[in-house]
Amino acid sequence: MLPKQSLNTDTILYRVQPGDSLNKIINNYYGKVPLQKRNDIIATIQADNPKLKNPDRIQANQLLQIDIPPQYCATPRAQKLTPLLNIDKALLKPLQQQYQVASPKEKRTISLLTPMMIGTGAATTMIDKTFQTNTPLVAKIAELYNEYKENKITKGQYDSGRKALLTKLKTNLGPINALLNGKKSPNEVIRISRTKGSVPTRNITQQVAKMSKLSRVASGGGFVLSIAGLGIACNQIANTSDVQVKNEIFVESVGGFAGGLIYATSATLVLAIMATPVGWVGALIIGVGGGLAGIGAGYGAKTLYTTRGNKIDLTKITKVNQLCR
Amino acid sequence: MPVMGTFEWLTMGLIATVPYMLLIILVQHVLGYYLSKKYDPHFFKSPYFTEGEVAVYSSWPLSLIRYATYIVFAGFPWLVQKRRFKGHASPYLPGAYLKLGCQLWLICTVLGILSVPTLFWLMWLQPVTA
Repeated sequence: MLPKQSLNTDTILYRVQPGDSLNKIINNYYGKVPLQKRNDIIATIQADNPKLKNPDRIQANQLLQIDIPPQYCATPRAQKLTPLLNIDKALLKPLQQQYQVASPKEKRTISLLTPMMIGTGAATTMIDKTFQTNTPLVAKIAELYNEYKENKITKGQYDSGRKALLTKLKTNLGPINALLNGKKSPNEVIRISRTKGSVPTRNITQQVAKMSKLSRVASGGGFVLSIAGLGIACNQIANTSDVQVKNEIFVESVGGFAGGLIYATSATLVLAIMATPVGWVGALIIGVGGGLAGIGAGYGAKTLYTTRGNKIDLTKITKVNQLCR
Repeated sequence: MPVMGTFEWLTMGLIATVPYMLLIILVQHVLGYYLSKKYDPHFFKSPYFTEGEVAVYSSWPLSLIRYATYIVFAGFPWLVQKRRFKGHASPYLPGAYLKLGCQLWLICTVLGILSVPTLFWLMWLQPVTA
């Protein structure tokens, strides 16, 4: 449950309007907040309104006691992030040129790397999401500091609020913190600047900017890797005149993709049923395992096709040769 | 259309698992999104999920694990009531149609997972050609 937010909340009596839901009311006052915080807010509302048995069922004209920020949507939101890199053909062109001059051995290595690249793409997307979700926590520290300087909260409230936010940030970032701050922990980096002539919250602003920048890089990188992985397989098919080789590449790519998908779905189900907590290490193992499962399945499918397959053109039947030209 | 032998049909089956599994994941998203709105306020916190899990299961792609947990809980509650949702039952269970949808999803997913090794095994049994 949220700590009673005397430090930065007002309490109001809200009359429920027709069509209102608790989520809608929270959106009005807090803006878009992370899921955990939303759950905490709902729990606080329930605690303040003992008659509210089911938060999904509120009725028009019902009165609710709600803690809200002093100004609506005062909770700092993540810095507006540029969505994805604009991928145009020019970006992939050097990759295609490199591929065309590669030796058969290099081409073979690239084909084995394809599923791993797609898996890495998903992993970097996950990193992007982590930064996007946690940037508001850092911004909140600066806000707390400003409130303390304006005497709205005491030193003790500022210290405990800062400590709670840093602990949460450390847990959320996990090993990804190393990408951001090297060996330094968030506590060491996110400090009030005592340098004469500088803005006290300078370090915090820098950290927010760094997270936003890394988020953009991760987001763009994940997209590029995914597109490049799929593009390379397609490119290989387009650049090979030998029908048998086309089919081998196709079977290998499909086998790899199917293997990765099956691995990911199985892992999801097992984790859901077994309720084994997955931290960052577990998540990374799952990611790498998916890539390896993809490589293994792709290799197996290709071996089976070359040793047991007849000479039927699967790329023609599935019209992949028309798609990858 | 060329004449396709057993091996080719099995290969086509393997190829078909890709769109099939993508469809499974799409349905998982739809069901999970709906169920998470209903269940997140009650379950997506301690003691059902650890703080680390709450952090990593909040965003895609690992949010799919949270979705799968809810779908299994809605379809076959006994599977998750022994560990994660100990002691929770009727007040949170969905209506009959949603429950049926969740059950179908789980059965189709298990069939999809089993199909790939089965197809590989059947392909392996095919005679080696020159």
